[in-house]
Amino acid sequence: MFHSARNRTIAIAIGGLVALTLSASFADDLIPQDSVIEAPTAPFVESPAPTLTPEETTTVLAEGESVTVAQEIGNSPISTPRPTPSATPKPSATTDPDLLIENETPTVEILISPQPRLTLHMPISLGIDPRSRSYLMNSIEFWGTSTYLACFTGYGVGFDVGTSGAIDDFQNDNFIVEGDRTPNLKISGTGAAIKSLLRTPGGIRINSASGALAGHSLSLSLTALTSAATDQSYCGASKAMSTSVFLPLKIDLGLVKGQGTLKK
Amino acid sequence: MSSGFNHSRPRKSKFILGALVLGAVPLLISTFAASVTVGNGSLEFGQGSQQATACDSTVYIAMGEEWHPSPTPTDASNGFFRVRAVTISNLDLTTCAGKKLRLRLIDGASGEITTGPTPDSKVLQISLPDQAPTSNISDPIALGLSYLSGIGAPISTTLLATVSLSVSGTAIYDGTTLSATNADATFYLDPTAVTVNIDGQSVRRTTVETVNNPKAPGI
Repeated sequence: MFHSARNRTIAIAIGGLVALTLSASFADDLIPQDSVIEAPTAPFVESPAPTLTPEETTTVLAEGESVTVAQEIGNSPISTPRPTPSATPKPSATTDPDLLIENETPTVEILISPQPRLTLHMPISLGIDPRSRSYLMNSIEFWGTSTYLACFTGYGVGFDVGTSGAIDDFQNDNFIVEGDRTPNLKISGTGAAIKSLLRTPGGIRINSASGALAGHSLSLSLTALTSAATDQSYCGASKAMSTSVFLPLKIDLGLVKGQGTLKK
Repeated sequence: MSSGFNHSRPRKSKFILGALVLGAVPLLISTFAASVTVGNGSLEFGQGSQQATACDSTVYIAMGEEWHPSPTPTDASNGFFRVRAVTISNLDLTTCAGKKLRLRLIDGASGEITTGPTPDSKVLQISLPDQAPTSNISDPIALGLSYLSGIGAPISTTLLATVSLSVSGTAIYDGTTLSATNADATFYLDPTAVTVNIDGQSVRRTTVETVNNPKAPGI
């Protein structure tokens, strides 16, 4: 009698403990992962250091280094290749009008192979207000006179280029913007044209998909092309790529009482 | 004997139950504590110091960077991203009218970063207009732009910084429409990029202060 009552009591107690432990684990799981903001209750405590190396992300593509992807695109629904004087005709019989098969269209190589020397700089971390859900980015630097495809990829963020709040996708022979206000933005044109767009007052604004920006990241790759195109496969052909992580700054807001002058 | 036995068993059971309940208290506390933080991360930011801000408790910070070339003999592309400007956003110029606004940048070692031409230039300060402006102001003299030492003493030196107080256009912080109650105060540290070139990676903390220094009557 006593044994069974005691066993029941112990069993109930153990069951309760297990339930409490489980509920604690669930509560931990409920904490949103993007709440990386630290409450700066203690003054002058260092922000968490970024996990990446403390230098700007720099990727230099050595001259003569070849890329592994060299595709020909003819009738891509995403981007229409536009033969330009600088485009290299495919050295094959298909460019000979006499040998063209009916309904076959001439193709040109858009992707430059090997890729020319290209240097791309972006800060490895972007200091932001920890409450910030959006960031106007000006800190992208690259050099080169070629035509490029700039592929922006957001991890928990989307890109808004040009007019804020509007979809600025457009396309002409020399300049293409595709994927505005999405996490996958592609801009193709001359280096000067891309820089010009990125540095307009609207610039490129990065918006969090949900919650604060802190902890999210973005990457940018640049691929040299013979003419403007936004085929996704060209993004993967790039060897010039940088990544930036949003790092929350700590902020103090305070009131300073000034000296008052007493009237005699 | 049996009577004693009968009394000791329930007492023992109660003791075991009591011990289990006591043992469960930390679990209960941790469970509730974990639950409390759900969706509350950003709200806790600034706790303690934020309440001390007199005129506007909801200002934000946006830091703008630009490439600063610093080529070396072995690397012509060497350089870093310098702090071009720091914007205090969402300022309410009606409640903060007449106040002084100070900005400090702090590095990862808790040291104040020099923001002016002299090593003791640690603070950038402007005086907000007595009346909320109706148009943007970018005159550093009108805004009383100056450098202060770490303890707030004025520094007389060449002014390299510029400033703009914007009440129209779009906010740098979040792209919202600016107004007198949602203004941007932007400090450009050194537009020439010759002298004050702070590596953006070194800035880990910013401090915004409003200085309450009312004019004495009759002055």
